Amino acid sequence: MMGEGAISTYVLEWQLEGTCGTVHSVFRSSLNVHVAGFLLHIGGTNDSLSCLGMSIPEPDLRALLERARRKDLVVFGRGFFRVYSVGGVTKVEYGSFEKISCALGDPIGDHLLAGLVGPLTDLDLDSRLGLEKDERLCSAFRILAEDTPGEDGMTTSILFLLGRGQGLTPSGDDFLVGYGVARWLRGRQHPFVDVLSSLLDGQTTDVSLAYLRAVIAGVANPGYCELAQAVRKEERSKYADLLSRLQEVGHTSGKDGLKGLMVGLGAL
Amino acid sequence: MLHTVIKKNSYQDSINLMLLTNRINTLDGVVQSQIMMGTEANKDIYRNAGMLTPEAEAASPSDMVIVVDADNESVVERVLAETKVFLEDLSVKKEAAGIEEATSWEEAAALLPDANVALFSTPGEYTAPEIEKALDRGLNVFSFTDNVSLEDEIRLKRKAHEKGLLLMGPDCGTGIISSIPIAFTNVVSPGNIGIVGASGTGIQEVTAIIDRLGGGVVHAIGTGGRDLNERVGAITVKDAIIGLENHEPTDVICVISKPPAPAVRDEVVDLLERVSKPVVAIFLGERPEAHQGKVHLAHTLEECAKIAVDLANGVEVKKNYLEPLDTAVDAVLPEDKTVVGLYSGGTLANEAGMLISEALDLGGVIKEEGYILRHAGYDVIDLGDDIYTQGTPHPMIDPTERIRQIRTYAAMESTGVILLDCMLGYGSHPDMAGALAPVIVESLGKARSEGRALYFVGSVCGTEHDPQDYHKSVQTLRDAGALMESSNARAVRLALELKGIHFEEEDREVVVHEPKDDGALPQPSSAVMELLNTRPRIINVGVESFNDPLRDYGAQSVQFDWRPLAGGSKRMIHLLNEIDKVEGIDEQNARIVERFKESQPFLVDVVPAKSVIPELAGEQKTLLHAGPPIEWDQMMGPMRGSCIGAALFEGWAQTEEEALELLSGGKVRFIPCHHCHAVGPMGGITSANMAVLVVRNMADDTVAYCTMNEGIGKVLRFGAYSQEVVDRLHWMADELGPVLSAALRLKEGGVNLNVLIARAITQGDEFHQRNMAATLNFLKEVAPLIVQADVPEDAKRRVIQFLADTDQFFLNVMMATGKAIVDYVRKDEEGCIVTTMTRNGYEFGVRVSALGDQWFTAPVNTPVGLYFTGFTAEDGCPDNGDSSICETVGVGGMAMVAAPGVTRFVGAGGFEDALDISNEMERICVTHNPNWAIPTWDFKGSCLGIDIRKVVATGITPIINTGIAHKQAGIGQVGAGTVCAPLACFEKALEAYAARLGIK
Repeated sequence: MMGEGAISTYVLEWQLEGTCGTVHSVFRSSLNVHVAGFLLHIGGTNDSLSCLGMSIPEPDLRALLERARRKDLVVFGRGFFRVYSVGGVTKVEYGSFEKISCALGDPIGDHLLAGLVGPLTDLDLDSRLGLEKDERLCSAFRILAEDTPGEDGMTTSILFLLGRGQGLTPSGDDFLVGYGVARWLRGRQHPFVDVLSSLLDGQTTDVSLAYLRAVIAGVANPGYCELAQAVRKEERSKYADLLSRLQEVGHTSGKDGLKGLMVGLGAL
Repeated sequence: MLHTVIKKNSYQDSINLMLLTNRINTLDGVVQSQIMMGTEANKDIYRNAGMLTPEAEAASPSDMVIVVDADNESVVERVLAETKVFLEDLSVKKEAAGIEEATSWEEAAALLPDANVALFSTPGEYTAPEIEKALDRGLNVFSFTDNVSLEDEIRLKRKAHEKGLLLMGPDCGTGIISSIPIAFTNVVSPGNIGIVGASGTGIQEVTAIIDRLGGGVVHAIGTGGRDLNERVGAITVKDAIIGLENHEPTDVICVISKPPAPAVRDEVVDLLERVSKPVVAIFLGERPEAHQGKVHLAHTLEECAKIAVDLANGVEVKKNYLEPLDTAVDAVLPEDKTVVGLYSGGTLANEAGMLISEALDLGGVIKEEGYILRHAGYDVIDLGDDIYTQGTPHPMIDPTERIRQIRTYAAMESTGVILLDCMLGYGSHPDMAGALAPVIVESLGKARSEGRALYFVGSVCGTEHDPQDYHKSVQTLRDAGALMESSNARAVRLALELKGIHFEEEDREVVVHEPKDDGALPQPSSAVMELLNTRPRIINVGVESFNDPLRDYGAQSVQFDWRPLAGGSKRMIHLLNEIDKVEGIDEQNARIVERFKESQPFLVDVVPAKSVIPELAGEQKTLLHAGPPIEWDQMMGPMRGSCIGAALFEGWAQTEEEALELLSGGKVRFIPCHHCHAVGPMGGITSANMAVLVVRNMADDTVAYCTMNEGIGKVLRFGAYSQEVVDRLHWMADELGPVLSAALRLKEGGVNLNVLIARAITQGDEFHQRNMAATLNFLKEVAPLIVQADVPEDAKRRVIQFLADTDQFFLNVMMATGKAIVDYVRKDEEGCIVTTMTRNGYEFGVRVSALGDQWFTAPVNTPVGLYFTGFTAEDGCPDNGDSSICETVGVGGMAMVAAPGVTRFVGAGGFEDALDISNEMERICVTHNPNWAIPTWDFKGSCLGIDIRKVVATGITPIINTGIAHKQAGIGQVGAGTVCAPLACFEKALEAYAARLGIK
């Protein structure tokens, strides 16, 4: 298969050539492949790129989704992968895809980031989170909102949030991704990434795990990267639109993530 | 006491019959039974089993032979009832699966026009020519069938190679094409490993282990066990390797072989050395000390699978793949205890034999008939060997023989370990583990109670996707007390450990290998690449259950309900196959049938026979008769009666006695009607002064004659010759004929019979047994003409009344029509279409388009049907008459479906039977006649162009609707029914036709 698409540079770091994986999960408009300890997301060009994957032309995606089943073998070669299904072999060539960086980039000054707090507050996220707002949650938010949370408090808060909630990416994890984005943009990712790394094993779903590992590495979905870029360039007029698109992700994922971003910026 | 039942022309494949035999053997009162088709090979099996009864000896290959050894004859009834239920169950399964069925290659090709594989599971003795046909049709072949001679295999593989096709097999038990499991196959995950295997269970073991290791297989191309024979030269293995080399999704090539011819093995290794992809190979029986260049060599099937998976995952190949066993051995068996292998998988048995031989340092496998290894109590048996499967199912299907062997060996003092395999996958027993578990429990319990040490050690060859479920099977055997390992090699190692023999594998390094031929690799054929790059589209020839995995995994298939050609006659099969290779016959036949279609018969006159038939006009007393040539001495009663009647009619004699003296004294010349452009019903006796219908075929003015129908009851054609009969003949000659003649002359060109026939066939006539509609339509045509004719009024009245009373009047018109058509057709002397069928009570005769006036005859059959009150089948005379000219042109019995009203009268039953008959007749004809469309057949035209090749190939002979004459002269018609043309005359015609084509 040939065609235009996009691939996250984070995927290219994983050196997939010559490795074999298996289809991890198949959805209506995307699938995940487990390969070399990495969860690769494959979606279509009609949807936004995931930092964990690639967007392939829609016809190719449809052909793939028609055949692929869980546990099907996926073999990666130089600039291509093949999925071996009972229905046939599907080959996708991604060597010529546009490479999109999903790195959050250099820190941004707090004064610029502060400009996001207002628009975030306007979204009234608290009423639409996937997490039940109780005292423990509020306590975790308070600890994490500190400029330099203590490791114990951070550990307790992360453990409380990890895997909390429903779905492929539980709300607590979405929150932590957004929170991690904020910490990276503030240049204060430590000790958050260290604590999170030490707590990940077996705590949540494979998909969430992949996003959390990405944020530990300073990588996030392009929506966050675009927002960071807008802040960096002080393009305030774009904030509302970018935030709006981010909050539309999933059922509550976007809102949970933005809440994390907000808390990470020190706002409750 | 042996009881035999022969089910004529009731073909079933051997697997079904073996399963049926097993079921019958479980019936109370059955000592033993054997149910097989009546082939020569099967008769040998009956003979060897002491069950070849005279009835079985006389059976043909298309007959199902049931021989039951039972003291009580009443058991036979239960056997037949059980057989009926079994076969009906098969039929219901087929219907439920919505399987499309073909009965010929043509039908199969029509059902699946883009088929690319023919899958064979037919008796070996008939299969080579069928494989050749498949190859000639551009199909790759997968032959599960074995017992194909080495010479045939060599010839067919060369042909396949020349045509750019793959011949997988013969004796190819398993395969995977584009991830679709074929035949006896495990359900293996799709993946990037491509396998070429000259070993069925070897492929199964390797693919199953690959699956369990998390790898996958895209193709597993079976080649048959003899492909690496020196004379075959690995034709299929090499072509398959080249195919996989060029198959983009294949990343690793794996070759599995039984012990090969050394020179061929080296050629294969050389080829593998030159391919660009990673390679692993196992040549069973070899203990490789190093990898040869890029060709990684494995010692066991398990190791082969592991290397393949490492290569597929891009992991460096290890020097040693030996891993600890799952079972720790605490106590070693005494010296006098041995290891016994009772296998259902041939290659697994070979692997066990090889490993045990190596462990005991025997210097190779010691083979003895029925044993893979036999040495000092160390017996390894492949229970799938022919010696154990004569007339019984393979042990992968049926555990009976293995259970018997287990009981025997488990009871032996010397037996310390019994090694087993348990093959899963499509085709195998639905629960082999469950079937073996009880005898394992029983044997272990018995040994324990006798204070003997006994172990069962086994492995399951399968995957978690198999219908039987790998994990469940392992657990079942484990629960029964067997020590289970994850591969056959490991199971053998455990068995040896129990004997205190520790298995070691030396590290394997890579040594440089320089191929003798380092030229460029051959290019693959487009057909092979098409096969490898698409999902297979399969014509399944033989065992119906082979459709199951194909359809479960999304391949297209059609079922070819194959039966041996020509009832299994080797001579006829040879002729048919050779004729099949001659080009242009179908085109010639198409031209011949076109002449049938373009015929334009018109009834133009009624005249005295002598005025148009010169043979009747001379001084010599002459009678025309029905059928092929015959003399007085051979004539049956009715024909003799007709001759007597004719002699009285002509005034040659005044009494019966005088007539007899004349006729038997050689004073009368007998000539077949057919030699004089004439036809005659029943006896067909036609004399000079009888009136005959004149039908002209306007296609080229060919003319034909037939006497007129006299009505029913006491009539000359059925052999009656009383005064009443003679008087009627005079009236027909003196009044009926002239009146009709006068009437017909008033219609320019005569009566268009094609139109009349086309109309009447839609009104329920088939023109042999039922002519009611046609006669009325005829009357409708001629009545106004008769009224206008310049003849006496009372004559008009009598003629119209006669026509109105004589339902069958049109039969004779139809006969003259048929004759006018075939005599036109016969002017083109090519092709193999039947141009005449006729009978004289003694012989049935046919003529064939390419063979001109030659007659091909065989003893005639006696009709089967219904008899008038007071008469029985005992009274019936063998078949008579030229009226089968109707069937020759596609009506009569051939068009039974057109006349459902007749069906019961002729003893055929209901509408479905009529439909079945016409559908069957369709199978021996080239096409349909659009001029005579049949509403009850969805407006298909009547059958047209009986092809002698099809008749001989299928064994289906034309069915003829007919009246039945009493066998004694003078009595007349006693019934009506149907009769089949004898096959022998078509076989004789085929011989002559082949000779004309230069075929010996």
